Amino acid sequence: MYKIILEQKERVSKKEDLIITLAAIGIAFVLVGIFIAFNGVNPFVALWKVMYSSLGSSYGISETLVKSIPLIFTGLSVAIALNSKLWNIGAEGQLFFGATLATAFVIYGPILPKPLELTVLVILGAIGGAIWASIPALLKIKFKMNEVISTLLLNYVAINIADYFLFGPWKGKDNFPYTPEFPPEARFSRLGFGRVHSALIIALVLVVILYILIYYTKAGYKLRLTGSSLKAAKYAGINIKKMMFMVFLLSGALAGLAGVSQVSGIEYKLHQHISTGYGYTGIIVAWLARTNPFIIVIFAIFLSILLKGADSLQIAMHLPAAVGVVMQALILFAILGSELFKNYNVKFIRRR
Amino acid sequence: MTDIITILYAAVASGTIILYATIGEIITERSGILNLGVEGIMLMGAFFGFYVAYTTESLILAILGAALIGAVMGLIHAFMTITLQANQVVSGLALTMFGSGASAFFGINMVGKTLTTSFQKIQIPILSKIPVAGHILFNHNILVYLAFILPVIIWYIFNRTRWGLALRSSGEEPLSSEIMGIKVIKVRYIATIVGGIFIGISGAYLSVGYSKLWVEGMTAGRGWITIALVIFANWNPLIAYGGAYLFGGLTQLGLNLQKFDIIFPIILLKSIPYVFTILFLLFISLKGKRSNLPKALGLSYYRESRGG
Repeated sequence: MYKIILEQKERVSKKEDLIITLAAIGIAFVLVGIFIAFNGVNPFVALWKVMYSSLGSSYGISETLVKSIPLIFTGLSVAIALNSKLWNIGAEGQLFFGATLATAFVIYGPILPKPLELTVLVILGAIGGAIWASIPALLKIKFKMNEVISTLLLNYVAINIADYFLFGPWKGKDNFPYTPEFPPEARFSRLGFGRVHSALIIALVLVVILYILIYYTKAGYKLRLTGSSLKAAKYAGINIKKMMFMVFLLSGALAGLAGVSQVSGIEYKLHQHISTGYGYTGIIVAWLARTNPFIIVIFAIFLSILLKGADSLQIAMHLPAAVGVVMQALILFAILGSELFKNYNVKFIRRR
Repeated sequence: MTDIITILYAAVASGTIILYATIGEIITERSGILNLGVEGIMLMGAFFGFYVAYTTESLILAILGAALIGAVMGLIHAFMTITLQANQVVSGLALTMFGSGASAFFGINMVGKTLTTSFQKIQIPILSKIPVAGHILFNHNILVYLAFILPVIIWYIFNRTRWGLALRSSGEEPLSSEIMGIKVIKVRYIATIVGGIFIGISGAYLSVGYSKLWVEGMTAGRGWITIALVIFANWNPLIAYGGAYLFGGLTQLGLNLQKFDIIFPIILLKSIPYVFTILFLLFISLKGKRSNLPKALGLSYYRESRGG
């Protein structure tokens, strides 16, 4: 019998951290490969297909970038909450609610000149997400309700609300559940590289702003202090309830922007599949990036490579669409398991 | 009147899905491990149970298969959170993702298939002849009856056996428990695996015993509702009855309102279970503190840490 001894490490060097993370991703790929092999597909061929379809052509790269836009928004959304140890598992619902509110303006509101119209849509999307996030925020602050459960349950409700409009007042002429196409004024401009659209710029600007906010402002300091120790934050005189509420609103607003970016940037209408679980993938992005906004961009792109690749596996190798979700879960498991090796020296000692 | 009887009958049948899962999660949480993977485990149980029932035409094997897959899922969570000391929230989320993905991945060929065998209703002699209540309670299949007894057994184990004591103290004071000679790590492993077994069975009851079909994502958030019901039940298996059947009743009420097409648009009625779950939680939060919340729930425990 062997006994496992753990020794707490003083600190982890950046190099060691990177090596362990890369090793974990490698292990995740092996697990995914085993999974794919179950379905009678050669995993090496599949890996090649994934990489080739998302990075092997300028079309592939542009589509990968397109997928990364909502992921940057949802990644930032989850990360900002996680900074103060709040779990926003509800980015998916906030995304839908933001998209629904913005779509309502397109349908019922006047058509404004393009810059104005888009500004209104962006603001409404953010407000929609923030409204939806304010429910679990209030429940948490007033009634101490666990935000993991409340944010998750509200996802179903937000999607039902969107469904209500899609199957009801906004139903298409052919009775299918999608709205009429948005007018050109309500569409983000393309940037001249495939379907990549200008919401990417908004996302990147927000990355910089949030980075500065988190690491170089007093508010950001308070945020991180609340995250590292609730006691210390209380002692420092921080109004924790107010802080939590603001964080939730901001988190929801960011997720709402993901919704606008999907309806105004890619789909040009609201329908049931504007998100393929971007809210949930955002959790992985934020977790992998350890809430650092710049690293979020890297992992958002990494995960969109896989998502784009999973799409092509579905088409080319007839693997079920769910392969993308399985991939994400296995990567999350591998990285999660690797944390131990970052925090401890693991030794095996033979027992007597 | 017949409408009310129909609703109550269906409340028992559909409440059973959640009852199995709630009992499983209570067992796990009492040992100090928070398992947010319920939704994923239920889906795996639902898929695998259906798959086994379809291919072997054996209902017993179907339930055993679902129990086995539930045990494996529980083992994964136990390994991640106990041995690898992973964050319990994230590991649970990963488990849910894995379960919903893998069940959809493997289950794609089972969509639209119908079972040749199914659990038959067993009318319990004498009891089922009681007016009204007899039909509501004693005209179900065997899995529903087993769910009647299960919480009592688990309550007995919790409160009247040494196993139960070891389980509860691992969730309350792991360090002192270890000193008292309880193997906390072993207890938590067992609790997480056994919890997974019951959650897996709840999935099989859903697909094989209740709706008799497999659809991707068919649990529709019941796993998350389960986690809320555990809090509602104050980690007490006996209160879990009330939570599960009350919840089953509310869902059925929603479905029945659709018939009258009143007040609310049909699609919004689908939100009733989720909204009610949140209201449940609100209600108990207003009622005061939850006395049975395991003190060490969600915290990782490392045996050697007492050595410094």
